[in-house]
Amino acid sequence: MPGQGEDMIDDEELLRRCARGDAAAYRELVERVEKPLVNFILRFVGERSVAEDLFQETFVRVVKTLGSFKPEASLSTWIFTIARNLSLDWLKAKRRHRETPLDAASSEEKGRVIYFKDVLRSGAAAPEERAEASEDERRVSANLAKLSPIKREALVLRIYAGLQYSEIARIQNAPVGTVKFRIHEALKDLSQLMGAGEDRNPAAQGG
Amino acid sequence: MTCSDVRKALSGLALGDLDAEPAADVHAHLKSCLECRAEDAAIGRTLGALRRAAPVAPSTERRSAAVTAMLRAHGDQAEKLLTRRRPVAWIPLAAAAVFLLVVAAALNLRGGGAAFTVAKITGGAKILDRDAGVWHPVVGGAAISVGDRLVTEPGCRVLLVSGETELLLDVETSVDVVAPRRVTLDAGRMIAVAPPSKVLVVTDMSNAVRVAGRVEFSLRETEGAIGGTFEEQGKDPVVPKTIVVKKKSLVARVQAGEVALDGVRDQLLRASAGQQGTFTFGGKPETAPLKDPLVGTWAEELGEGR
Repeated sequence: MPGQGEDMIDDEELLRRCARGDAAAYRELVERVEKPLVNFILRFVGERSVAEDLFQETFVRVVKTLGSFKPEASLSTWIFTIARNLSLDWLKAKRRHRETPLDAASSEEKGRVIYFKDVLRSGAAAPEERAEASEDERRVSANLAKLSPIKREALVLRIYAGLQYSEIARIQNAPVGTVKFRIHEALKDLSQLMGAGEDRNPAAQGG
Repeated sequence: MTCSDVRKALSGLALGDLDAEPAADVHAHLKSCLECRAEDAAIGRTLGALRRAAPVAPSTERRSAAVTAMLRAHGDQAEKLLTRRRPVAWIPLAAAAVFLLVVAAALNLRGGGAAFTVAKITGGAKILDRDAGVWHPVVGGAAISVGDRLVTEPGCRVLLVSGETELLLDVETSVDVVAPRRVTLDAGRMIAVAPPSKVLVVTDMSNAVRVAGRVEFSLRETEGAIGGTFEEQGKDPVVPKTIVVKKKSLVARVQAGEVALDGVRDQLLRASAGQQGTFTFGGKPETAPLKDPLVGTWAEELGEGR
């Protein structure tokens, strides 16, 4: 995970430079965590345009709250906590405003489901691999949205952000055992949801 | 193990979170139970789909937009700190002026006019020309502009003046002039003198220290270690490399007047004459009686001793 271990001292120095408004330091900070961060936000909120906004807002919030960073925590954990809180706020606001539920299938019917690869770079893969990944992504995105936010968050932090259980526990402010349970339950629930989808759409089954 | 027990453990098994013994029990059950095996396969497929779903990365444009937004936020923060507690009548003018200066600083441009003039110098010092990326020697009477970094070499002390405001830099000290009345101490030690009517801001990290009086600033660094073990079910405990954390503090020794430290979390600290204020990165500000009665005497050779 970037920003941990040997990078810890550098993290503090990096933030020190950030506090002075050093553009190069900002760019380095973004580059250190951008990939796991954008994957986390994207899978957590499930909407590209929102994920992009929250990605940017996360870094703005980092600048505004530099003084609240505790060197005892890793830089990445702190940034993910900010991103998580912003994402949760957005999800809560969305529920309050009774907008389209976090269900990619229903959004797809309105023709506005985006799977992010059109504007976000992905690793270069063979066409068949990309097609398979695209199908996986469609099903994963649709079904992740059906999980409870707390389980989805834990699973996404583990799988897409690559965080350790201890880091997720810090972000969710919960014991490590609880985090493990949430992730195991999330995977089980997701498996059932995806299995139900396959039952309804046998063509989607690979064999 | 019953089917119910096994199905509860399948996710943990797939993620590698089970200890060796329960994992073996689950595997043994799966060999003889078709239904549990099917569920295990489904979880495996789900995990595979999760991991195959293409990882994404932000576009170059998105990254640049984030950096631009951070610079803008920094400018907003700096403006907020500088305009805080000013008399109401000054707020619109000060905000507009500071905004322009902050934008210039964010763009790494040198300001137009001189912020300070070198009134005295006792040795070698250099100034960084950010536009050209080269260092120039400092001479008496030189103008120090917004955006400049000034570094004193061993044996050199410098007195900078701007009206009634003075900055006395000790040997091996580095400062950045980030605005006409805003200076960042990067290394070393300095004395800032400012009248109550023209408060000077000295910064370190995200903290702004407002000076109205005569205050000696220095940086203090202490080391702390973070250790421990990370234990995960089914795996040997991992002993990560001990992390050494360097904590840096800005120490303000007040000889006359007062300082007020403003952090971005609105942490407040006021220290008056005879007190010492300390702000530690990531910590809480503290005040204590001034222990060293000889504070600032190093500046006497500049004719500015106490």
